[in-house]
Amino acid sequence: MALHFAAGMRNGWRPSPAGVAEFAASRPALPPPAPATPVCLQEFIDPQLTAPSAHVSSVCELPGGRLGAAWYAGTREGARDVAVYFATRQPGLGGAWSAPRALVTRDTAAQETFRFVKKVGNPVLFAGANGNLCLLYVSVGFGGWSGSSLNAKQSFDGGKTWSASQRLGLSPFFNVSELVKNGPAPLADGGWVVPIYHETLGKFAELLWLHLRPSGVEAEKSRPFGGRNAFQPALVTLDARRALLLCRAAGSVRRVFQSATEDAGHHWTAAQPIELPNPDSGLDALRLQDGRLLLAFNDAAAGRETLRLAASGDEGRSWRRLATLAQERRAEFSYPFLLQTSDKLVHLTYTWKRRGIKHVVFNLAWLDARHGEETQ
Amino acid sequence: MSFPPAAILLSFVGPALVLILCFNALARRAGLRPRGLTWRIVPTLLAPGILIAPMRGLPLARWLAGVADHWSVPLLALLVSAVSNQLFGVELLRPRDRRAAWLFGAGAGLFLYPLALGLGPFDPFGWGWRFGPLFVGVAALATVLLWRRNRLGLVLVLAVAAWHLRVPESGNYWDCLEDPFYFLASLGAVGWWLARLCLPRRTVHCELPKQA
Repeated sequence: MALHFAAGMRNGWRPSPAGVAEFAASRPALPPPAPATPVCLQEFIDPQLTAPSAHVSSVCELPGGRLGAAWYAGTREGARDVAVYFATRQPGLGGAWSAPRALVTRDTAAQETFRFVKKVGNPVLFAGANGNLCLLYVSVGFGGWSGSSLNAKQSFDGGKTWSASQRLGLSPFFNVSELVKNGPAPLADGGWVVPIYHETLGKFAELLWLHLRPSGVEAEKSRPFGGRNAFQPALVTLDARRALLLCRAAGSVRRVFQSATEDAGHHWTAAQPIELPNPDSGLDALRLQDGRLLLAFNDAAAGRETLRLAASGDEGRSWRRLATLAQERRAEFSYPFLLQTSDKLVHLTYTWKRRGIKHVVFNLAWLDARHGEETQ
Repeated sequence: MSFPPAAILLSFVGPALVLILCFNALARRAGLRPRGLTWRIVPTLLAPGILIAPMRGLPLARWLAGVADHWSVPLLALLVSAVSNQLFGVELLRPRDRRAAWLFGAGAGLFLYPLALGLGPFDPFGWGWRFGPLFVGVAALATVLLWRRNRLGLVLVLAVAAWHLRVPESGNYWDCLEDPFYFLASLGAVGWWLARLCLPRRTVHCELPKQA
């Protein structure tokens, strides 16, 4: 007991992982680039639409400027044949996506975590500065998606080979109801903070504090706010201490919810609705290299028929609609994921009619050209 | 495969202890009087044998691990005590130690689970990641229990040791102290005592034979 206290006092009194490390210094806002030709390209990651159903994609920059994408696909959402797929794309606008490769199936997840796995889903892929990759995904042993646990895999060779899945213990109650959808932000100490969410008694955002080691992943979590109104957050860091969480609506107020921190995630404001609508659908947000915030969201209080971009030049206090990415009656365009690569191109992947994953790449000139075209 | 060996081992030990107790209970119910070395060895070997048996490539214990994710130290201590009492007549935890363990399991669970599952903005599970209020509170409780010679204090010290040895898969101290089955069993035990305390005792009226 005395040894325990000695160790505890040495490490310091810190009841929560939040605020231990600051966010990695955000890139300072760069001056607007020289006028360039507006460019926007749309393509399917798997043009053959191999599986009948595909959903929840993420994309990251690999060493050498290549892109890596992960999503899940199968007969239908939650089916036994659903697998997490991975594909890469050569750099530049003319690159093509490689053939998708199954990274995780329910059988491999069961084998690697040494327990029964009923279904897998929601992969989030991200890459560190050293090029090491991490894949987070959810697995369900029993019940529906609210029975999900989070798992991690790592690759140290750009996605050629992957470590075995490591199940992350994050909840005291059968380790269930931990899900992920959006990408992480780097921390100053080399770790990551990933926006995750919970949906059992309450529906709310959580933060997963990760340190990736060759021997495995060290994970802790914290809760920025509780309640039943706002979950599935997107995390945008503004500087080393300040960040925003933009969240999907869960309750009767069908608007995007926003929460802020000014102490590196130790304390967060209560989630408040902002002016943009949300039909209980996934969204993603990003801080562009010029300092603006970019949001991809379903622009309606009901239905996922319209996928739109909005931007904020005042750190989320006000938003302006910029461009419509997809719109069709009774169709679904959902679960966007945003990334800006080192060549300043912005990449967005989203679920297209639940049939495939679409990849949109555009430059800031295209974004600026759309400025004012959209109606409020 | 990538998983902590201690957590895997406990996923076999916990159900094995429960099975041994079940075998003994069944034997007693069948009117058998378990005595002698055979009665000690047979269930002790049979239980792990069943749990190791593969079902569609996965040992039965690992199927159970899909539900019973972890086994807390107090629940394991209660099970070990019950098994040692049944097989060897050695009571590791006395009735007052067990009462304290059930009260601890019920109290800790009532505090932890509703809040951790989202009833309110505060998440006490966050206290278990690193040194903080939970450790001080449990240390104070363990000190009081040890001073009063209650063996639950020793169990709580073992829980600290388990956390330092990174036994739970999560790395969270709460998982050494509490688990859902322990919580439910504790609620049942505490509820049973309360019912016995609160319910009026039945009085049996006997009529004495009238004297001639």
